[in-house]
Amino acid sequence: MRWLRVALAVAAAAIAVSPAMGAQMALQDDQLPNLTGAALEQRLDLLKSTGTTITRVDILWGFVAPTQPADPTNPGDPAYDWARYDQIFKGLRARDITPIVDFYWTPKWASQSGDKNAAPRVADGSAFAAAIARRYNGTWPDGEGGTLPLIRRLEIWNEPNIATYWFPQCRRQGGRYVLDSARQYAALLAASYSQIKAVSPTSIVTGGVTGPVGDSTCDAADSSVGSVTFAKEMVRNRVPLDAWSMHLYPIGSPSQAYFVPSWKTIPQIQAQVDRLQPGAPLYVTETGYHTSYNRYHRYFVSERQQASWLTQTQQVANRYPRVEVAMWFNLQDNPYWTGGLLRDDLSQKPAWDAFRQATAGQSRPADWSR
Amino acid sequence: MRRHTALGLMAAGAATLALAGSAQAANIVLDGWGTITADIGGGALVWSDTQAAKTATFTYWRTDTGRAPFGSAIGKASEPVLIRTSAGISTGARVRATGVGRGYVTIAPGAAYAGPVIWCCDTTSTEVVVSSDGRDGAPIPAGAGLDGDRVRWISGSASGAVLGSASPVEGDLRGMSISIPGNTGPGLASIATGVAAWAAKGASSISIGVPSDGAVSGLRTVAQGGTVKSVFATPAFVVTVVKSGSRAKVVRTDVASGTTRTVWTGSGTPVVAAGGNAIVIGSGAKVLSSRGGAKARGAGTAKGTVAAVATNGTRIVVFERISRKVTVRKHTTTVKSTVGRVIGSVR
Repeated sequence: MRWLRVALAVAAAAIAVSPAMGAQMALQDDQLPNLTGAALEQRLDLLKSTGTTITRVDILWGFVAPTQPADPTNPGDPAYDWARYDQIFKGLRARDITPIVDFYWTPKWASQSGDKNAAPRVADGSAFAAAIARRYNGTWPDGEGGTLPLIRRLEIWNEPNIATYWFPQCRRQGGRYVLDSARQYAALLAASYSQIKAVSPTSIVTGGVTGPVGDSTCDAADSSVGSVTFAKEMVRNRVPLDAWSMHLYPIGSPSQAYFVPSWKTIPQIQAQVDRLQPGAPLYVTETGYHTSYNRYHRYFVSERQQASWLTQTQQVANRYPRVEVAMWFNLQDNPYWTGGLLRDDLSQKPAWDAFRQATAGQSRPADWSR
Repeated sequence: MRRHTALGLMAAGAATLALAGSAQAANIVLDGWGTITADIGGGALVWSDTQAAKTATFTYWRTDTGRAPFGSAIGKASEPVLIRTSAGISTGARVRATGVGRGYVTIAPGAAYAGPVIWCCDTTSTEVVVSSDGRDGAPIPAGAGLDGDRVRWISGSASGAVLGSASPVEGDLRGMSISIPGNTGPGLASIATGVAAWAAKGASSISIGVPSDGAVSGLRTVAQGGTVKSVFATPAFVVTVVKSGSRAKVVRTDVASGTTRTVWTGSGTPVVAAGGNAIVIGSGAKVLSSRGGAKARGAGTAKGTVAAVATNGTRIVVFERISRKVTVRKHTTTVKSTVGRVIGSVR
């Protein structure tokens, strides 16, 4: 009877979150939180001109809450400064672009080490998640007689399996290092889930958000946890979630790459997700190829390959019906990240046209329009 | 700015690096028979290893650049810098010791892509990308090194040779490039303190001058008596491997006077390096050395073909290609490795 229970659960999940018709190619611009005013509006116009109808926005917790709020689940607490994000989300709404939102960067007051990659205390992190969900649940006044936009898809953190974003990954215990980040993250995800649902019941709470790590090694505090291992740990901790997201930066073309994690290894992740929420959608909220070496990503391809493999990314993503979105990262190169559609000087790479072609032929599912 | 780590890459075939042997003479052990370059300076042995990485479904290229303290023996190696690409066929990295703080400058070009110019390392022992031009048709670095406080590199392009200069500071976009006479190709350019030397593909002469951000001054062209196959500059002299028919020779050209001396002749294409006042040559399994422009003399015999040599003017390191049979459950395979070790002293 187990199969019947699973089948019914899959059907129920399909009703709750209707699957998209093919993966949507989407694009993130990590510069958005760094801009304000007219410069931000221009940048949003540039994003819109790519043809993307879905994007991803990093909410930098430390930006929004430089000092500790007295009432952290209340987005109206005077310690919060949402101005830049209000403008981003209103700008996206005006341009009919649907955002997926993630948050990270622990503010000093919430950081046990003082560093922004410090693992947050569960109570602090989940309260901030609730504040985001409440502010952008479609009913919060925008101060101009209207309301702020509704954001339905909220990712809990960014790449919590990598020490760059979540430290420590492992803790010393009895003379050896043991995995710690997954357990802590599971607690944050569970607490965030219930708090978000309380203030925004239609939110799609997305867990995982795993960085592109294959092997798990726990031999230092800044080790990394493989994305499959991380998913298994979420199963072990029985976390609640509505969707799972992951980041793929394959070595090799999208159709050939097979190192974990790559498109071919998605079924390994999906099998774990089904043990948590059968049929839950999968989001690839970062993918891409770099066109020159940088020390943060040591694999690169030619600009022509990048364009060709962007097209192939869309084709390969469509082989996985559960994958609803493939988010290209990033709009523009910077010295630390050379996977943009635009070079540092804003000149277009061949991938610019490839992306526009990819988005020209797709229509955003109704479920993604709000 | 986002800073991602690509730790997934670690699963994608980092070359095995091991230190073996006695305490007084540790060895560097690299998987496979890659294209190796090496140098000694500033108390460090540095090396680069470029190989095709064949997976079940595709092939990409990988370059590992490593360093280890070097006095009279090889010390413990630090984590190598890993470069991975599917941009096309790599023509092999080239590494030069900077002579300061165990640093190095390395390039990892391809036949049709520029690849990065990297300086090692900042105060956190992390490499700094000085240049990494991904545009189609970008000038392709042929040689690089540290000149005072500037990293300089010479590239070849459709429109001729280019000298790039930059401060080895991360994110310093004030690097500049200027056109210089002639052109160059893989392995045909080299930078040392106060010296830029380069040759065009198929050329029988080299250009030598003093590089700066705005020009190469004191430029002279020196005939080498055959087709130049590789160029290695030191502050005092330039070493070239020159082919003429089936014969090869190693030529030492004095930077100040432009006079040339042939220090070795033979067959095949030898590997060379220089340091102090010495040149070392690897030809097959033979290792030779020349001091002060004298004819090269035997300095040792490697256990396999010499893939690269390095010297600080006193000691000689070879990277030799080794193969051995390994039997696991009655199945015997040949395992190839490249071993870097001190083979002796300059004679």
